[in-house]
Amino acid sequence: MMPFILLLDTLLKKITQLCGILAVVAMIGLLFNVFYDVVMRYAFNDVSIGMQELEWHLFACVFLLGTPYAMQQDGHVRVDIFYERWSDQVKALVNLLGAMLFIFPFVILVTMYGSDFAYEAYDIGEGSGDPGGLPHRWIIKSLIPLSFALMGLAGLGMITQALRVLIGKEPYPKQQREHLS
Amino acid sequence: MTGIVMFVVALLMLILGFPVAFTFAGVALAFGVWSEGMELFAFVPYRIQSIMQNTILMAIPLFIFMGVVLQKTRLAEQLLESMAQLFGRVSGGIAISTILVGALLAASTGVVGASVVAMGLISLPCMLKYNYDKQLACGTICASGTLGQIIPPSIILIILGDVLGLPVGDLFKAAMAPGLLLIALYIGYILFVTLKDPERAPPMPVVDEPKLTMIRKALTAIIPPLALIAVVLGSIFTGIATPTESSALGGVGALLLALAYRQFSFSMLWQSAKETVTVTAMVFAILLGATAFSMSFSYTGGDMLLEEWLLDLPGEKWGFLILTMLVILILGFFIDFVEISFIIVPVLAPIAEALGISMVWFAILIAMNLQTSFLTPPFGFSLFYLKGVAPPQVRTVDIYRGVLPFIAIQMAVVLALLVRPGWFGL
Repeated sequence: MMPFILLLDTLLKKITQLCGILAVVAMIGLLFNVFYDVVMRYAFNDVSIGMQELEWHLFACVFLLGTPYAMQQDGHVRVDIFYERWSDQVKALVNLLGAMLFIFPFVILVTMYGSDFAYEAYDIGEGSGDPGGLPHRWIIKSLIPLSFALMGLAGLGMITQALRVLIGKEPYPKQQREHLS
Repeated sequence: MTGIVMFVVALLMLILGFPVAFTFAGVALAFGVWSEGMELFAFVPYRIQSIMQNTILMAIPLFIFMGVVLQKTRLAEQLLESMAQLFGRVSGGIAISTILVGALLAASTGVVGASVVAMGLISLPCMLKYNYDKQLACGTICASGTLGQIIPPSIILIILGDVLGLPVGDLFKAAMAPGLLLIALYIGYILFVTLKDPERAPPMPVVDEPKLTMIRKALTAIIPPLALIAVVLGSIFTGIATPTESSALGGVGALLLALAYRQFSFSMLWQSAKETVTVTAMVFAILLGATAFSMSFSYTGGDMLLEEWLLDLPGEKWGFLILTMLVILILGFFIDFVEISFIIVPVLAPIAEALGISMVWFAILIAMNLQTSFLTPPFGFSLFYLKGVAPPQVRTVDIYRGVLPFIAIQMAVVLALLVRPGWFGL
């Protein structure tokens, strides 16, 4: 059982880390995309609808792909008044149950409805309503079910990690989150 | 009633320590499906699409990026050192510099945790080395770190602008007066302390550098980041650029500053983008959770019931304001401003509007109030951050006692803002 858990754990980690890399690339792209649009608009009075639409496409990649990655990094905010003091076993139990009860139903439902949503866009060949806008709206819309499916995988990763702590008596890695408030 | 029960259950569940975003989503799902059926959530993708296309929220990752890059250029260290030297033999010089640098840093990052940690690492050892009173040192750092909540371009004001449907530029403008007043009062307090008891903040020993070189050094450290922030805020205030456009200018500007200070490298760019992604994901995951939550809440009639209750409060708008400010202050001890802004504020906003409360005023009150909340023992976030980076001889009690005078100042300003908004041009 344990080797299987370890393998699954590593595999899931790799997938979510790939999300992270893509989100980071999108982040850098977003910065220069918006900057380029600003410069073009003010310096050359030239607005490209396609480039402006690309802004929100990249922005969507940043947070939709960043979320599963942050889950793997334990980057999401917890109310840790008690959590901090609990033993690794109790923490593992919280994460195990939390992933099953809170994450799975939510991501399954949104992945399901999100797929319909994206398929509909594909079916009618939806594109941008503006001249010069980006075509194939279904691609960016598919990011919604994709992101939620990946969140599901990241949730599964929380479970495998919790099992490693519970069965394998491994310690929980220290939280490495960047706190916002 | 279901909505209200759901709210309470969600708040209780948070204490378990599972990530907030998913706790809210999970609880909302359970109650929503149970009372309205699964189809309720078929709208979630549409809501997500509107978040994707929201150009105001796009400013959040870009401003975070600007802050992270500025932090990585170690500008704050240089600033603090050269500024403290400029004050030379003035008692309390380092503390005053801490407030000023903290304000500048806050303006650039808008992220409290980051500025408290940065100032704690840079300025606390410095103050302790020159025999500052520990309590004064800690209070100063916590207070200057929380300035990021109110001084634009703060992330919370962007979120509040989105949630309340207000132009972000207006909120930034409105936040200037109370923010500057706070800085002035903090400095005033330090001057008052040093006048009464110079031992608590002794001056730095004199360096034998010629005054002119010192001034030049200080200016080279101060002017570029100040100019960047001036450009960013100036372009928003004059209406030349939208907040999102100026946030991109700020991000690229910060990279240029890093180049100028010889701190730029591609790995620094990558690391900064990575930190930005994590923080952004944290904010937006909560927004996704809050989206599901608010759907369940309003479909089960929670908002109607709450509205009824709150509109019935004695004292009309005063009863409402006092109650909501108290609730937000207390919630601020336990949960982040992101949850409060995305989950609590949308519920309160229509009621505030119905009571004829000015929305800009309401937003600034909430931001100031949260700032107070992050400063207040025993749970204030900034206190934890400082404790996390402080040397062991600084006890938690020192931090708690040290922030008390600053909390008093803060409360006084909130009160003034509440009773006399006209003083602040609101």
